[in-house]
Order: sequence, then structure tokens, then C-alpha cells
Amino acid sequence: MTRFWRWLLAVLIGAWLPIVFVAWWWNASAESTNPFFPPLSVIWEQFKVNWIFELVPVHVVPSIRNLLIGFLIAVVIAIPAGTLIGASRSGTRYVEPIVDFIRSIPPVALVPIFILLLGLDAQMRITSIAFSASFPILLATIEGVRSTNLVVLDTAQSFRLSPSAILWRVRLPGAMPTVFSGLQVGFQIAFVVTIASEVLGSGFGLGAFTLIATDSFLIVDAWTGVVLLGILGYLLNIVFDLVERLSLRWYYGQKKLS
Amino acid sequence: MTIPAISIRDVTMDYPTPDGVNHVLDHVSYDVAEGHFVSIVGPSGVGKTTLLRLLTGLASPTGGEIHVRGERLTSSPEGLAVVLQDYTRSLMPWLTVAKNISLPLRRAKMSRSAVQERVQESLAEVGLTGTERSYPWQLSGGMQQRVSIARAIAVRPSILVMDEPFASVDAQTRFDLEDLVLKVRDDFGITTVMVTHDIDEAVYLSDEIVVLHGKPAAVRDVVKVEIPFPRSQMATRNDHRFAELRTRVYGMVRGLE
Amino acid sequence: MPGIIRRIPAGVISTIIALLIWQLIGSFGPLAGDSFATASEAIAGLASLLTDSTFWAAVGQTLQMAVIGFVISIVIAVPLGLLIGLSRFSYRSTKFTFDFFKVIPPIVIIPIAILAIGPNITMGVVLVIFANVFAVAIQTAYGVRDTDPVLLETMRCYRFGILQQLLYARLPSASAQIAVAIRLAASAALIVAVVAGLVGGAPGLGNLLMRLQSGGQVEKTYGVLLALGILGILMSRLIVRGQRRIIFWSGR
Repeated sequence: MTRFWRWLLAVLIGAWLPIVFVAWWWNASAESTNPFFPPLSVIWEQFKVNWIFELVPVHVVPSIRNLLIGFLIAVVIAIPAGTLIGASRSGTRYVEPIVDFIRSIPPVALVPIFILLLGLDAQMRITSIAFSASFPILLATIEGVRSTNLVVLDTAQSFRLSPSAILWRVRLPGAMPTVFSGLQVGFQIAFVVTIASEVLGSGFGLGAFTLIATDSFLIVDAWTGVVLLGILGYLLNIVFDLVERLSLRWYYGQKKLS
Repeated sequence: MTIPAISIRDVTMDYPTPDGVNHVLDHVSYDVAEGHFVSIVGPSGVGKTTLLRLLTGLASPTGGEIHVRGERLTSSPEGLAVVLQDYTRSLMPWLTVAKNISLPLRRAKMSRSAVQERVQESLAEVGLTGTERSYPWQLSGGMQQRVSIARAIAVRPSILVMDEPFASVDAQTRFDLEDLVLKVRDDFGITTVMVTHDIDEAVYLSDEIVVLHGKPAAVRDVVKVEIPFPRSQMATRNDHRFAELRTRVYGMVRGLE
Repeated sequence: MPGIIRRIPAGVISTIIALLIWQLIGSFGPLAGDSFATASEAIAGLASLLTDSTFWAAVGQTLQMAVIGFVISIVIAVPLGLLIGLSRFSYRSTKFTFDFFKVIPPIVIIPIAILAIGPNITMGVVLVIFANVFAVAIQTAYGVRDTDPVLLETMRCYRFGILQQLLYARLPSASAQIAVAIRLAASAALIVAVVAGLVGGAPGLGNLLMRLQSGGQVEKTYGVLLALGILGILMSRLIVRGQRRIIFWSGR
């Protein structure tokens, strides 16, 4: 029972501020005549019309599909590549400056290049997402694999594991906490590039919907798009955290003890 | 009758936990005489550190009272200095050795030169002259612990409280630090209370050893160490009284006696 | 001969090799063509930009948005975070809300920003602030809360008050966390300032990139990308150096 009350208290402490904020927004905007800041009640009515669930298959599903495909491509390429590079000392020295340079370019700025190269279709969007997301993953994997715990490495060698077994079964798993920090950054970049590729590439997708609504002064529609994007951004982050917690149970268990 | 430096009267300590109340200390009573060196020993998890936190005023007992020189303890008392086990965590990594030592002196209204002098004296006492400008993390573990001892004596405390002060240093350094603590006690006449799990160390350093035992813990026995000071690592540890006492205390801690 | 090669920094060699590969792919690869500038074309594009005053104006505008937004976010967020971090209640009350806004990328609110502010420098500054203020504040608060309890107990034993604990222990101890947050904020500021131009129509390098691309000026488009990469590297070098100087005790 005490455990339940503790939990309830924690939820209440976390929730009162957002509740107050939304209530304030609802009341303060109720009489709003400012065209750019319509009443929250009006936004909510339009939100129900648009996103529960009339336009979801048209605008939300393709966005998320592109995001996931692009991100998965980035993962499948960057983790093995990063593992191989990180395992070799000179490989790291030669590759890291280049990867670092490309990563320094704002990911969204690469979208115009992909539009030049590939046009405006889904292929362009997925390529942009995969390309931009792969660099933080690559860097994190290199870093993680390179800094393998030496004791673990010596132990593995004393078991006479083959070099490739050591690389994929010992060094890569040991690097996973670092890799995941790269995956998290990569995932956030993927989300941003998904929106940007739709906005700049015109067409379907939630980002495109919102910006077209803005340009056409369909302000309430634009607000519903912004609210949904915000919620989606947060939910995707939560899903990502869950996946990380599940995959790195050993790491968090150990950290809790120390 | 003289007033004891610290008087622990009927102290009980309970912690509420999600699974019910955790009784740690049960009616503990003990008086620390002025100028004495007292060690608190007992099996691990018995509540030694809890008792120490009560003595420093960091926590308040759920029952009973603690008096320091006749005054009831409500927060950390004036004239108290502490040395904790985790020297890496109790020294500030962003301050030099000299600044770490002088930090508690900021509260006393001392002139800059007086502070400088005090820092120098304290460093000389612990044998670290010349390290003023170093950062704690540039020193070895034993040296860092010397810095926290220097910080403690810089405030000219009347009571020194130490929690497993030598647990994280190597054996040789440990002997050196033990002798340093004896010297400091001798030079300044500080009343000292130390928690330790090392029975040899307790016998070597103390006037009296308090043995805690049981769950919740109570004072199992108080052992007087009647080996004359000054003591030395070679002679004292070979004394037959030393061997008898350590065997006796060991038996009590293990619950064999 | 190998001795000479070994003395050249790895970065220089790998840059040369990367440029060569780029040149080859750009000339003979499957995507080779008018819209894929080779390395030499991109460098030529960058060179022609360097003599172009509109390019330097754009650099100035982007830096202006990034720096002003960055400074304002730090000035707001660090004291706010210190305040929040002082009590467990205020920390736990704000954590969820700040985390929520922290993970929402600023590109999401660009449509609202265009409507409410218009595509100008102010919009870029506001986006940079939105991107950073929550992250820096919550990280600062976390740093303050995360001060080693042993350190705080030691201070309490020496009878230091709450304010002295904040000044002498919590703030220096949180500064490592604050520094990390500030470093991330600085690179985010540059990126967001560019995105504000690209997507939101604010002035600066993002806008220039968009105009060059739609105007079919392929070489210069690639040139701007090179410039952005160099700018980003310079920025992060500068900040890492400053950080090492201020937070000298961590990462010892």
C-alpha cells in the first residue's frame, strides 16, 4: 500500500505543472481574437477532426514509416562499420576526423543536396534520414568499441576466443551503453530530418501538412499539426527509452548497485 | 563529577522503510570522557555509522538524547571536526589543498594571514608541507586522507569524529596514519570517536572500545585498553595484553562470547 | 619515405584520401552528373563564396542568431536550474514538463514561429532559445541535486548554511554538468540557426543554401555545406578548449 501511495505522489508531483499549464492556456486563450493564437478549445475540436483518426493514414503513417526505415538502415550500416573501424587503432585515427566533419554539418542542411540528387520522392527522404542518423551512431560505436575494458579483453583472449568472436561477442556488447547514446542522438536527428525532408520536399507527411497549413493561413490546422508533432516527438522518445532500458538491463542493474 | 565530552543517553534510532520500520539502535547509552580516544566496533551493518551520524548532529535520534559538554545536541556542534572514509568524496576537487583546509575557517572570523598560518601548521602536523597548491586528486589516497585530517585539526576542534578513516588505504599507509592520529591527539588533546571494523586498529588506538551487537544494536560491552601511551606499531602489537584484548573483542563482535 | 608519411597528422592524410574518393565518385559514380559536385567543384564553390559579400553577410546573420539565442538561453536557464535544483519538490515538479519540451525539436514549432514572429532574425533567436533553455535548465538542476551527499554532510558537520553549501559545494559540483549542457547548447544553437533559415525562411546560411539549391547553383550549394562543416568544427573546438580551462578537475 505504501508503495502505491509513493507512486501516486510521484505522479502527482510530476503532473501538476503540466495540468496547470494546459488549464491556463485553455482559459487565457478562450476569448482570444488574435488570429495567430486561436482558443485552445478550437484547436482541440479541429485536432479531433484531423487526427482522430481521419488523416492519420495519409499524413502520419508515411512519416513514421520513413523515419523507421531510414533509422533502421542507419543502424544496420553504422553499427557494424563502427565496430570494424573502432577495433582498428589506425582505422579510428584516419576515419574519425572525416566522420567528425560530416557530423558537424547541420543534418537538415544535407536535405537540399539529397533533393538535388534524388528528387522529391520517398527514396530521397529515407536516404536523407539514414545518412544523417548514421553519423552519431558511427561515432559512438567507434568510441565504445575502442574503449573496451582491458581486463574483459584479456579474459576473453585467455579463453582462446577467435578474434572475430572477441569483436562481435565481447567488444560490441561491452560498447552497447555508448552505442545507445549514439542511437538516441541519431533517432532525434532522424525525427528532425523526417520533418525537414517533408517540408523541403513538399508532399505528404505531417511536417508538410503543418507547413502547408501555415503558408495557407489555415492557422488552426497548423496548430493541430504542431501539437501532434510535439506529442509524437515525446512519445517516440519514451519508446526509445524503453527499448534502451530493456536492452541494457545488465548495465542499469550494475549502475544501480554502485 | 566532571561533565563527559559526549554523553549518549538511551538513544534509539528507527528508520521508516517501504517494508516497515527498521530498528537500528536500541537504548544505547555511553559516555565519552574528555580527551579519550574511543572506538566503536561491531559486525558490519550493525549501525556503527548511524551512531556516528547521530554524534555529528547530521541525524536526530528517534528516542533518547545526546549531550555534548552538557548541552543537548540539535545540529552539528561547535568545535566538531570530521574525517570520513571517502576522502575522494569529502574533499573538493576544484579547490587546492590549502583552500580545502581553509574552507571551514571562513566561518571563523580570522585574518588572512592567520588563516595562512593555520593552514601551514596543519599541513606541517600531517607531514604535507609543500602541497598547498596541489589539487587533492593529484595526491595519493593516503595523502588525501592526511589532507582531510589537516582540515579537521585546522579548526582546532575539541571533538574529532572519524568514520572508517583508514579503510581505503593500503596497509603500510594505514600504520602511518594511525600513528599520525595518535600524534595529533597527543599534540592537541582532542576527544576522538572513531568507527572501525578493524579490531587491531581499535585496540591499538583506543582508551576504550565500545562493542555494538544485535539487531537492533545495543552496547554489548565496553572494553578498557590498559596499554600505556605512547604506543608503537612494533612494541604495542607484540604486547601480550594486545593479543588478549583483540581476541576478546573479536569474540564479542562475532557473538562467540 | 614512410618516415615522412608517419609524421603527417592522420587527419591531413584522411582528408586528402576522402577528397580523392569524393572526386572519383563525383566523376564516375552512379550518381555522377550535373547535380553531384565533385570535391574540386565544391572547393571551387566555397572559394567563390569567400569573395562574395552576401555569403559573409549570411555567416554574420547565422552567427548572430546562434550567439544571441545561446547567450539568452544560458542567462535564463542556469539561474533557473539552480533555483529548481535547490529543493527536491521543485526538481521533481518541473522534471516531467522540462523533459517534455526538451525532446521536442525546435523544427516542430517553426510554423507557429513563422506566424507569430515572421521569418526574421528574432525568429531564429527564439528558436535557439526554445531548443536550449529546457535542456540546460534541467541539466543544471540535475547537477545541483546530484552533489555528492558525503561532501554536503562534511559541510554540515563544519556548520555551513544552505547558501554557503550552494555557493561552495553545489554550484562547483554542478558545473561539470552545466558545462556539458552548455557545450551541447552551443552546437545546437548553430544547427538551429541554420534550420531556422532553411525551413523557416529566416536569414543566414540556411536561407542562402536554400536559394542556391533552388537556383541550381550546385557548386556553391556544396560550398556552403563545406563552410557549415568548418564552422561547426571550429565552434566545438573553441568550446572544448574553454571548458577544459574552467572545469579543470573533471576528467583528470
